[in-house]
Amino acid sequence: MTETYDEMVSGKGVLRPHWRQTMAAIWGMSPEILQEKQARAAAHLAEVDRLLISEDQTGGNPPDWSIDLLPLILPESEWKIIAAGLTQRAQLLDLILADIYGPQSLIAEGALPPYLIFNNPGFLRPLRHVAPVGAAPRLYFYAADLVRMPDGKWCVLADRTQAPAGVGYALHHRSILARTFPEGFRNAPVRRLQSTIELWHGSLRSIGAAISGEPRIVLLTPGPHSSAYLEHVLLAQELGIVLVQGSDLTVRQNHVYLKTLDGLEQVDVIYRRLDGEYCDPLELRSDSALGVAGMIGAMRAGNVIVLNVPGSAVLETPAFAPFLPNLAQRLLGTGLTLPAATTWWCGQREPLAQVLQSLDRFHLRPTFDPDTAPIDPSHLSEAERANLLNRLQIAPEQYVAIEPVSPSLVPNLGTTGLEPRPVVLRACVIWNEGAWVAVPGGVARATGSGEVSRGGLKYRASVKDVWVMSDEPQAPAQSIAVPAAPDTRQLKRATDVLGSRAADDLFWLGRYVERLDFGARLFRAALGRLAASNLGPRDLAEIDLLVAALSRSGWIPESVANLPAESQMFPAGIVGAVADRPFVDCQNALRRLGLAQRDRLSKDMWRTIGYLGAHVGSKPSASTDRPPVDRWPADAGDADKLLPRLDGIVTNAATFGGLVAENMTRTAGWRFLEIGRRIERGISICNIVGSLIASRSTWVELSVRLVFELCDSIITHRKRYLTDSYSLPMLDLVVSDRTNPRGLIYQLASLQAHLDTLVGQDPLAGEKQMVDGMVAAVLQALADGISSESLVTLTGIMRGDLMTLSEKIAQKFFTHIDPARSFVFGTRNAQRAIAS
Amino acid sequence: MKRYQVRHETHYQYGAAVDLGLHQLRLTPVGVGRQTLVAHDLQITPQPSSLSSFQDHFGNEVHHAAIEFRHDALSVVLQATIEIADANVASVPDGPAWDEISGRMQGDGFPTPFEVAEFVYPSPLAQEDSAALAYVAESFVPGFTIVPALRNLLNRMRNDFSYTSGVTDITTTVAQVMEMRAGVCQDFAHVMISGLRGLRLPARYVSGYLRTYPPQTEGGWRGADASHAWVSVWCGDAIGWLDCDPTNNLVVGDEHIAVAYGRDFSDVTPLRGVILGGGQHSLSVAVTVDPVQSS
Repeated sequence: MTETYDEMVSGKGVLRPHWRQTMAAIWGMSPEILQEKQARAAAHLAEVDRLLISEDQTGGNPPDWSIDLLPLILPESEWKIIAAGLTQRAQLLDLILADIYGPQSLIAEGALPPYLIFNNPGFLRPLRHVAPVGAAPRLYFYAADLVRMPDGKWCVLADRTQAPAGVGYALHHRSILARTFPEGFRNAPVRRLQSTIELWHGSLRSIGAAISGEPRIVLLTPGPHSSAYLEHVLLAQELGIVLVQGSDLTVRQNHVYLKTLDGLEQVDVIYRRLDGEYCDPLELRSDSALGVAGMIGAMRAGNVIVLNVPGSAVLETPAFAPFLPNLAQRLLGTGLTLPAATTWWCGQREPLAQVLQSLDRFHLRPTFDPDTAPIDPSHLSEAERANLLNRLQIAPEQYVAIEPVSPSLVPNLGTTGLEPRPVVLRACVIWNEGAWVAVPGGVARATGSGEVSRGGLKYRASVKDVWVMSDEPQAPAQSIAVPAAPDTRQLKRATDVLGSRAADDLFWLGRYVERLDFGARLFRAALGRLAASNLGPRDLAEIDLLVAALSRSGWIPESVANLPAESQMFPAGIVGAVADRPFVDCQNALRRLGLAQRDRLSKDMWRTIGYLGAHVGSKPSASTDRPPVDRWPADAGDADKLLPRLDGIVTNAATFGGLVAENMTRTAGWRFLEIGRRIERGISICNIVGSLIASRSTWVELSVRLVFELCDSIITHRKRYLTDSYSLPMLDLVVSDRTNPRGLIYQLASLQAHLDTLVGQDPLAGEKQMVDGMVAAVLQALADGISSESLVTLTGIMRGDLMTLSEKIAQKFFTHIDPARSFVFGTRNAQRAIAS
Repeated sequence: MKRYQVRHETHYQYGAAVDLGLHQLRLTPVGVGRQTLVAHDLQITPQPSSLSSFQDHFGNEVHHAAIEFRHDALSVVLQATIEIADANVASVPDGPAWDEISGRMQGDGFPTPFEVAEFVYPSPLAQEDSAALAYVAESFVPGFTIVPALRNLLNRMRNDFSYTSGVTDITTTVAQVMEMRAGVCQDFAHVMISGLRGLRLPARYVSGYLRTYPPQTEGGWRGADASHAWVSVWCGDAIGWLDCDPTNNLVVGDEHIAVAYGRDFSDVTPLRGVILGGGQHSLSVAVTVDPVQSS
């Protein structure tokens, strides 16, 4: 057993000085309090994860990482060594990158094996000879996964040069700990991350200044399906730059533009979090729908700066490690202060012979696939071992051998009390005005055993915040909020720019929230009645009406709607529909849209979306066509169990509406969200009135009462008519009463107002006229007297008109964002141009 | 020396209007080796909103064209005048033993010459393939000189593969061609490249044109009515790159005009683009390569 370094305790069994304050705080609390805090921190992390990780990705299981209350603590003196080492590596790697994409003299002169470039999937040939604009580096943001060796020195497990994650997570973890473990920060000189963010924003601006005096900076993300999307959202917010997907951008005249509602706005700097090969379907992967066609051309023309440059991932191969010390001597004139773990590339005879001779001394990794888990030969079966040896003989260049290191141990609180765990540190540096600045923190992962000889953030681990204890006392947090000299540039941050896709997303988010709300109301009304035993004729008639409405709105399949209410299979069908499509589709869409627009929504709004998007109940395992007969009356209980969740959806939808009304600034984005809500609510009212009144039921009074119940208007009704009886004319309350926010005409009037202000010019004149006409039609119908026929006709027309309005708005504002219409040829179709 | 006039017409008729078209064209013949580009002219209709050109990683001339307005059709006409120096392909020396070259490609991690090493590794359309390797290896007995081995391979390929258009497309893999033993020039080039690289011999893909002969002429080449493709093989420092045409079983003389070099077709696609809109489109291509009198 090798000696390991203990982060917290020195060899003499003494607590290291930089841990004293934190451990005093920990030991000052009872185990119960600690566990409560630990659970709270985990809940904060899970709350975000629930929205980020779709259930299809995890197969319904919760994500397998957790956050630990105890940070990894480093004294400033040690941190300076790490920071200097990272800076040196970043400088070196940037120079290597410049050579690989430029003269390639390092290859010509035998300092880098050609295989490691020319067979490297990270080497993107279209970027060759594309020079950076101004002083911009090719490598702007660099991260490394580090471990501390038994002698107390740190070494690099993996260089991360593509588009590394880290700072966003670090900010996230820091904010969770600030809430759950404030005792730890009290009087402790923990270096803050915020200053780095300010500096980072400044450095992006200064790089962009080579193109424009007021550079537009965007963060390019692959979108909500990316595992690091949380990072992208948080960073865009913190940096005050626009979060965009490829479909938000377009290239004209070799310039990159952001598509906004007000037209195209030039983009000068792209902070890239999309893998390089996906950046441009014209020159790179033609099947990429995530990039921007023409981006590389714009770079080549010097009209946009992309950081890191696409192709920076060429440096991520662990096989560079053995060549870096010589390269450092050659390019920097000095040795590496932060070396890699001892690494051999098997593409050379001498290292290969060593590896073959003592295979068990090494862990083996593929040369070009950093995400593949390392092979530990000592754990292989005879057959696997023989196979590996065979592969090493046939294709040795495909392997890298690394001497495993024994990482230092860090105390992990976990759920069972302190225990030592091996730790890997992700630390980052950012380029700024020709120098590099280390982010004073990072992400530490306390791993299980056997996982350490690779980096990466994806695998199972307990994550930890990283605290750098300054030698000087840190200013209290409050002072950060009030900068001494207000920087006017900060005031012009660009998050208020509304991309066309964002407008589209918000519009549909509004529609889905309302749709889900009405769905939940309908299901609640139906299940509430089904849950009661002893259904009388009145109940059955009401259920009949509700089923007609559920069916008309598409919430339940015909097969269920056609069952008689007395049928034993009927309740199971309704219960099942809540956990099935289209209800679940609606929830998924809502969650996806909320996530995509995370940077425009407040935490509270996001929380309500989290609730609205969480699936209710579980899909019945048996086919819904033939529910088991013996489920009745158990399904009455099932129905009852669903009711609180449906209540919750209705309440949260109301909360969401309240937040929209009270907490959102009146930007164009807010207006599109509102328009979506009003259109959908109008359609839902029409659906409900139409289906309930048109129903074959002779119980008109029942129908009217149900309309009021579903449209949340019972109280208003009582107040107005001072009665509990219901008749058809009273429906004017939900149709033409301008004061009822749950009424149809209220939605139309809101739409009128929004369309008036939205652009304030002709593009929307037609739509405005259309809504004016709808309002007039409603009032006319009322004047003509309410009958069931007239109501059915009117709601039918209004429903159709609202859907047309939705389509028109979509056409006017959102059509050009559809990336599916672009088509790449010259790869698949060029075949016909090549007859021979 | 021979002089040729090349005319390459490509015409796309779109089924629905295209609002935005971005195109990269690799159509201009290179001026390297025995080949001199005397004059050239590229006409794109409609007139692009922007047009620029650059040299790619492999040294090929690339035109980058953007058409940023609504259009229903795209036509590209390349005209070029080329001179090709005389070559006596029959007297190409036998060269070094092929395994000496492949040994230098091993080079303990540092192959020599380094710049040809790029073409010894697998590439997207010329992946490693055991069948292609086994087939090619039959012509490469250990210790044999490289040029006769290549001539033997070309001869076998001409007999063993049937020239059939329509059975393959751009997604066809080397393994599928080996199974079918049929395809077109591009497929044969990819098979040959894959097999040679399996032996650690550097091999490049060449796109280009062939001299046109009137229809039904004896001695006319296969594949002359459109872009052609062949293979360039590294034969050691003395010979350098030797171009071989597996479709026509020959070592390239003075009737092949090279347009672009790359690892495989994906590096040298003559016309590659991204369009917004377009629907179904129809495509017509015509190539003529006529000898002209040297002035």
